Amino acid sequence: MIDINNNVIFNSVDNGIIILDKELNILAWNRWLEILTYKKEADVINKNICELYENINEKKLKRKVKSVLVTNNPSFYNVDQNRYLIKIPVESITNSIYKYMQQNITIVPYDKDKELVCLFIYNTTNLRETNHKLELLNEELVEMTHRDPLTKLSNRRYFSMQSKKIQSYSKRNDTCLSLIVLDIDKFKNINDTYGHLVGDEVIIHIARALEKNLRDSDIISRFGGEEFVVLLQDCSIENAYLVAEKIREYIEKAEVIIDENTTIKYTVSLGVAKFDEQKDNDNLEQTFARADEALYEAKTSGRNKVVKAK
Amino acid sequence: MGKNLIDLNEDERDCLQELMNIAYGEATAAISKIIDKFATLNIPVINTVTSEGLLKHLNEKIVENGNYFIANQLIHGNISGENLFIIDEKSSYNLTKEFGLEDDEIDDDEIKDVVLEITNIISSVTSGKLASLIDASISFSSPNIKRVTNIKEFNDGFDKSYENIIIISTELNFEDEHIKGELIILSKNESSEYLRESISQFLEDL
Repeated sequence: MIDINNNVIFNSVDNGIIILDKELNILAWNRWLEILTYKKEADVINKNICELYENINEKKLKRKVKSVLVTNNPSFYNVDQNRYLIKIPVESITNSIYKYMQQNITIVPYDKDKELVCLFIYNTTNLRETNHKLELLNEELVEMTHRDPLTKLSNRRYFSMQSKKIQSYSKRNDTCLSLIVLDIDKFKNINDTYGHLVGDEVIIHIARALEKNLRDSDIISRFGGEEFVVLLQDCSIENAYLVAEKIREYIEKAEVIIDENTTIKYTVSLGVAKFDEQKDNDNLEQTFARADEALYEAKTSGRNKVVKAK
Repeated sequence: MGKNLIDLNEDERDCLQELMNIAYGEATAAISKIIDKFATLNIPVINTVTSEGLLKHLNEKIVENGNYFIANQLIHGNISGENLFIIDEKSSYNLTKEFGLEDDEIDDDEIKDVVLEITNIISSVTSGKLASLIDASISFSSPNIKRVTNIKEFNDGFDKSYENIIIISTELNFEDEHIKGELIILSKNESSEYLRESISQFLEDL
């Protein structure tokens, strides 16, 4: 036991202080810890800290203590998974995100000759709570920026960001990249006949149909109104055509149930194009323009069909 | 404002290189002791660049869609600034194994913890040794870490006021693994001036 009980700083500071030997035996335990853990110094002295607190990773703490003794510099315990070293319940009614006090630990050399280190325990609960709330808000913001609120599919902005990354990956790995542009046939009639709420149901229906018929790696996006765009990675124009045809058939056979007496059937037209570095001037926007032209051709030549771009 | 690091003459530059070799050697010895394994260090390649040069260097190093950890640690005192340690995912995984973790124990948090620890050791021992060689007093903040997959993620928070940057590229060789990492020491003009004057004094005292 190290007699620092009369040290004013040791016992009045608003942090936990522990002195450990290199085998992790406790040699001093300050008043802050006595109060918060309900453990008197006499109860913990000469006990191994890992036996008192089984959550502590002994191998890791020993390594950090050794690091402090070898380098004669501080070591820090601040990675996310080490939320606390000493289990101290948080007794807060207004803030209950964390069950236990979140802590940062700094280990510093105390007596190099006797191979002793000092652990400072800082309460970071409030900081982590604030960070946690900010992270949640940030996630919500990203979601709002990248998602179409009606269908929960990605929006044009996200599509544009992702497609640049995918295009560069595709070029580097020399793989095919294809694009499908899809539009609901005579959507105005659905809206005019059944109203916009039913129109929204049809939009949602098509979003789920696309998710059902496409791979996780494909980027499905609602570009606005009744227009959807799909980017198919590692996919030739022939395969993209087959995928588009599968979607067309699936939707042609499906029914949107509005209520007990009303179901709606609808069809879609699709344009398909493969990214061609030379033809598209290395610009995926050009591929989109060609797929859009093919879609226009599908519409003007009778609808409910798939047309490959030239 | 005096001369910055980039203006070091040949003797001063050689002296800095030698001091950094000693300091980095001490960090390697510390790592060997801590993990009880023999580790060697290739003679580090040392370059001094401006912030623009650093971004160019990182742009070449950080391959788009690769996975890297960048840990940073603030240094306070006469040679204040910031140390960065950059390591790719494969090297950081190998490093975690060298620190005694088994495959089934390794996850992202454990890797981050080990990278933070090695950053703390390399950064504090290297800077600490350099400080003691030139009679400077310094202290360290706890290091932070982030995973980056492209240079933009690093650029977003980059403070361009660090004009004097030392890049130490090296490879740590353990018994079984080769681990590539890079320590980047960033210092602001006041500290660079202190460092330059200290190097000059060091040469005079020889």
